[in-house]
Amino acid sequence: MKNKTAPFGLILSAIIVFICMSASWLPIADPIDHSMAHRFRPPESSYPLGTDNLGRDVLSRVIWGGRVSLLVGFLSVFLAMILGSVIGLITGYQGGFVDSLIMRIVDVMMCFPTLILGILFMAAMGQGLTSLIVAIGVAVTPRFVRLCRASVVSIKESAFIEAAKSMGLSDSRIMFRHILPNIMGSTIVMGSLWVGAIIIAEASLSFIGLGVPPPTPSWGRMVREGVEFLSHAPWVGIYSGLAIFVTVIGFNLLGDGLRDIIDPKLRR
Amino acid sequence: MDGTRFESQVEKHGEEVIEVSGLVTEFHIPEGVVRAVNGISFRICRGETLGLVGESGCGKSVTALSILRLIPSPGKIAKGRILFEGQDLLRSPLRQMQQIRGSKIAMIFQEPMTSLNPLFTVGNQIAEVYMEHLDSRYTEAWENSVDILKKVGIPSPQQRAKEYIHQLSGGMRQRAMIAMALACNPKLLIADEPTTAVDVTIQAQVLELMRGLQKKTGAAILLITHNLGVIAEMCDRVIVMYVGQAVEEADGDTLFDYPLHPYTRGLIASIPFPGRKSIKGKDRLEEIPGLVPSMYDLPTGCVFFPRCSEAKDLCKKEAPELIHVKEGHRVACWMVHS
Repeated sequence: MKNKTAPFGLILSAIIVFICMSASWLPIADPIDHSMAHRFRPPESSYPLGTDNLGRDVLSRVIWGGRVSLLVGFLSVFLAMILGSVIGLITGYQGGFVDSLIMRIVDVMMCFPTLILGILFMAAMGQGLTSLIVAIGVAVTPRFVRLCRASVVSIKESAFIEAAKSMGLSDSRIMFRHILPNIMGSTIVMGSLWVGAIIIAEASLSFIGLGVPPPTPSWGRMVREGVEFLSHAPWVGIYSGLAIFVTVIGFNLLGDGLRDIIDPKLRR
Repeated sequence: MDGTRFESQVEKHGEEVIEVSGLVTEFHIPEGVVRAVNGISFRICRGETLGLVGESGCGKSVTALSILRLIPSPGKIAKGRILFEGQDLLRSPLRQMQQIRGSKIAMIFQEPMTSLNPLFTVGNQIAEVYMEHLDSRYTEAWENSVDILKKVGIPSPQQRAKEYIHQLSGGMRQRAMIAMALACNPKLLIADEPTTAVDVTIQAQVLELMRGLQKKTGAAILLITHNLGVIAEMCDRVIVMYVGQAVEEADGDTLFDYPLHPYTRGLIASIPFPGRKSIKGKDRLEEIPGLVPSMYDLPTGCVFFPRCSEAKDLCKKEAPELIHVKEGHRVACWMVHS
């Protein structure tokens, strides 16, 4: 395979996911265990990435915070993919008035930046991990709806769909068994590209105080807390920022690579 | 319809399978209404093959899709009746129609490569037909699909059933397509240009296969093609279509030996004939002058008169009806009527 960035992105993302998932087995301190005696320790052997304003281990918080960020990233994308595929499938396949109506709603939603929509939904649903996932997931759903609908509209005209109809298959069977697998490729690529963007969205929402409530660590919240001490204790915020950066790079490279592999026009 | 002719038809073949009468299919587009099929009528009996022949865009495929009620939007069946097993398909509920499609009326498409889903194995797709229509379990349906693949002459069907469509050769693909259509032993098989996408040797194999299977199952076949050679090979009766209308109907032999409509004669004359050039020297292949008229703007009178070498004043004014000239031979042309 000529594409070298995709395996790199895959390895990078896999390492990050693996580290964050095994947080409870790693020999690291409790992320919410605070001690006033150990505030603002710079990185040293007992605290590899230092401690924050409450004496909590930054390394531990970066790893545990990654769990929240990745969880939100994956589940939001998953939610958006499912909602987007189902709505896109039905509107694209049935067409007509419902199709126009839903696509206009999608157009309206896409006029707002994802973050603004996320803030709106968070405000409506209140703080919490679940509402964060739902808010971001619903906010990016229109993009998936549009992608899926476009793929469905082109695939439903193909000869094998006509043949499936001539074989007497029901509409739901054609939609979910014959069309859905054909649009999964592009949806998955878009999903992997959006994981990075959603991690940033989660960080942004947490940064403005709309994320997961404290004391649960998340990367965005840690960056915000670190901003206050940036001049004399930069390690408090910088490492979580770095973690966001590396993770987003990893998922974007993976998504780009997947797109190149799946898109036959870019292959060769 | 002529009673005596029909009776002789029934004597020769089995009972009537389908009767289409006065079928009109229209497409409502912003530029106006296009009548893709304009008053086609025919009957097909058990074990009989009816050919629909004509140039591209003359409504052959739309006729076939009308029978299955699969006209793509903005098309609509405006008039007519399609009697199948004593039931009018145009008035059947959709659910019933779906039960008929694939089990009692099945269709073979032109391009097997694009007519089968690239993401599933051949066996899987055929099995799906059994599961839909016979409520079979998957393992049973799989065995049935291996069986039917064997019946259409695919070697090592066990193996081929597990392959994807792109892994099969051209002839194998068309066989797989035929297998899928024949899965539930349909009473009527609609073959829409089944040999257009395959080369000549495979064309012969496919036709041979269809004929063999027809003999075994007694299915009626509606064969759509623009290849008169295929018509001559396969069909008991032929309808020549021109811009959505039947211009001549006859049995296979009569059509080739005594073509009456100028359009039919033109079509037959324009068949390239191997060796003709060397025999007759510089002779050009004959052609029908002009183009098929735009469907938006059909000529008044006989639709063929602008291209007809024998057109008269009457042809421009009034459309000729499809009238019997001999038993089983109908023509729509003033030349023949007078």
